[in-house]
Amino acid sequence: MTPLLELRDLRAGYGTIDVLHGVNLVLEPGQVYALLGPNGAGKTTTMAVCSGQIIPSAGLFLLNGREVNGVGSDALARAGVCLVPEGRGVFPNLTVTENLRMFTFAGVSFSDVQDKAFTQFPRLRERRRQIAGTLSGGEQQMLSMARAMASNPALLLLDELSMGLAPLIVEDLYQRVADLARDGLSILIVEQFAQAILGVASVASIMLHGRITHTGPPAEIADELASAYLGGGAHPSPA
Amino acid sequence: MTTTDVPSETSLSPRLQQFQTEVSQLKVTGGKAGPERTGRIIGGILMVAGLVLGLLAYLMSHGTSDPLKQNDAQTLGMLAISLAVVGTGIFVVFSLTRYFRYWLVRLIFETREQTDALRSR
Repeated sequence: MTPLLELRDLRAGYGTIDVLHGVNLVLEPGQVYALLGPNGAGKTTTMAVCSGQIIPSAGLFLLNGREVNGVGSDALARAGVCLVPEGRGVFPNLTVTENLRMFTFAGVSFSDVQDKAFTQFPRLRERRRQIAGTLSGGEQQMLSMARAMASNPALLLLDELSMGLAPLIVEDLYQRVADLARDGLSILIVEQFAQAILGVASVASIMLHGRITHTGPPAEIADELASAYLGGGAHPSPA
Repeated sequence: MTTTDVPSETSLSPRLQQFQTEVSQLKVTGGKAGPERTGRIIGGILMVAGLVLGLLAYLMSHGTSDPLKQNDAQTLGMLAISLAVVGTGIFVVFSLTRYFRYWLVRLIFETREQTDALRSR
């Protein structure tokens, strides 16, 4: 089966500084891939490459077996790549309803977007006239997730969904992710703290210093995490 | 929460099939990052070529008393100067572009950090 997303010996960075030093990653259709690693490992940069915000300096970025190095983020978004960025992926100066209206870029009608968002997250209905920037962190993340659900993506990129949120809210959000995965959506999740996603993922990797050092089933990776975070994970990637 | 299953090739959803079509229609520029790097290399090569040609012109002019050959050497010398000047220009422009690109990224990052800090107060 052709992988939906594949990175081959990918190198990328910011200006003069390379952050990714040869990343290899394969996401099959319908798979939930958890990319774990400590702060500064290059996870968010990987997401930026996958969403077309950063052009790789070397290596290949493939979607459905086709090299798409250099394709812009707008074209990838229209094709069905949806990024939920770390922190707040919402327009802070617009209301919840106005944010939902912005999510109709993919051709989904506003009423559909609103229905899906309010069904999945009833709290957003209560807050629909509130300015998004004044919502709590969890509610903002719900709004961001509502976009992912409503825009009907083919590939969902979730960057540190749990950042700054209470464990109960994180668990609830990942329950929604599990629901999306059950519907066959391919998802690449980046997380710093593993416990939240290992139950949802079908494959997991550990990223350290811009390289993937371990790849395997989530249970296996959970055992490796502690030693990897504490400096024992400098083995080359088997991929 | 349960670990999710991967569908087989035959069970691809209509959305995935649509995605495959859309990806195949994407205009790929084959873009590589670092056009600045290429520019700097070209500029560097032109600078060195200018210096080498200049030296060659000097040796050519110095080794003959024939005015025709000296005229040729002068022309070559002018070409060498032009190459060196153009090469230096290209090198400087692309070096500055690279530097300012990095500086802009840094500026955006710091502004975002400051906004986050203010918001969290």
